[in-house]
Amino acid sequence: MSHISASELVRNLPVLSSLPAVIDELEAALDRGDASMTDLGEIVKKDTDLTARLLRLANSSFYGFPKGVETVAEALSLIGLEQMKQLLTGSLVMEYFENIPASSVNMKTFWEHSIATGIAAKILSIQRRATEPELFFVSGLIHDIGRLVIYLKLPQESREILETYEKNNAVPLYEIEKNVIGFDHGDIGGELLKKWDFPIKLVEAVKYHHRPKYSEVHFSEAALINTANFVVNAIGIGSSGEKLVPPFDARAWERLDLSNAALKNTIKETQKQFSDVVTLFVR
Amino acid sequence: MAIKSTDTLKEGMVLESPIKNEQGQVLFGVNHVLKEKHIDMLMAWGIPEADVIVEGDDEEEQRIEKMITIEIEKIRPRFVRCDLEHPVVQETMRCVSELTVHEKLRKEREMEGNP
Repeated sequence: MSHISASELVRNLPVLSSLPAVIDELEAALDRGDASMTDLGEIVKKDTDLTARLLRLANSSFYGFPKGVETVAEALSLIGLEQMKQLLTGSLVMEYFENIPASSVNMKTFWEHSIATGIAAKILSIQRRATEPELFFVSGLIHDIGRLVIYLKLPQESREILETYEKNNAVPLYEIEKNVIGFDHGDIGGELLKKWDFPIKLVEAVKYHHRPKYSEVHFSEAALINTANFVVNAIGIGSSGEKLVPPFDARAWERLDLSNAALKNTIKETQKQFSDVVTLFVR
Repeated sequence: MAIKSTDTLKEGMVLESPIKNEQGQVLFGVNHVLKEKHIDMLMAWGIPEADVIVEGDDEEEQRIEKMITIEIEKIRPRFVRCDLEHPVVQETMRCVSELTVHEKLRKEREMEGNP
């Protein structure tokens, strides 16, 4: 077993890139309190990449706005600055892990699984009438990043984990991680997000997504990501390495207090939105 | 496709097209499974009709049901770590299988030049 802790493992990882400079400008304009939506739209337009992303996002099934969104100001007012920041941060995390050796993980299927989990988490949160569906999307999007840290920082242990799983996939990958390195990818993801000052409920949702009952304060958030992960593995969109559907956590599902119809809706909507949303996040 | 008047809708029916209000806002999207309370809401909002998926005649329904059963058996090994007796697990397997079967049928119709 490795003699390093999850927090030590992430200690030397570089910081996450900053959000685009125009975000600071937008926040400053909002703080002054005299900016109209058109003024804010003009600030966004300085960043052509951000402008294009914002318009594509506003017109995607991710939001499903009934009419076409044509202007940046309109997109910004419909989506909201805070929500836009959360989604951009999700993109930055994806870019951060661009250079993982292909032998360890298929990055395409990894991000497909992650994006689909984000969509499922967002849909579940909307049905629970949560106020921050974008935050749940990001939680789902980055719930398995701990696995990428293992591949990046512990190549020898990664090989051992994957070879053991290849021989016997009856044991979940996260259990093998625990046996080999002493903790699982949830613990690592949680430590990394803590280091990057992500909100604590997002940290806990990621850390405890395979064992939500251990999350004392944010059980609901962890339960939601656990269920979203179950749904996406059940549908079979992408893969973060697991070949089988994780155990269904009945306690987590009960905590969400949703009907079976809501579950069916989540499965169908996730499948429906996936092909549209994946193009927004994967270049 | 079958346009049914709101008072003849039943719980469990699945929307083929979105239901929109007079302002064009989507109230319920495609593939939404109607519940009793949704039908009550549509009545209350004065929505006269809805486009729901109709599986066809009995023979066709039986064929689809058989395809779904086969599909459930096909995916069952992937759920080996789950409690297969749990109703939510069973519901999930059925729903995923329905999606696969409907996708197959959609492709079949496309091949026949009847999208």
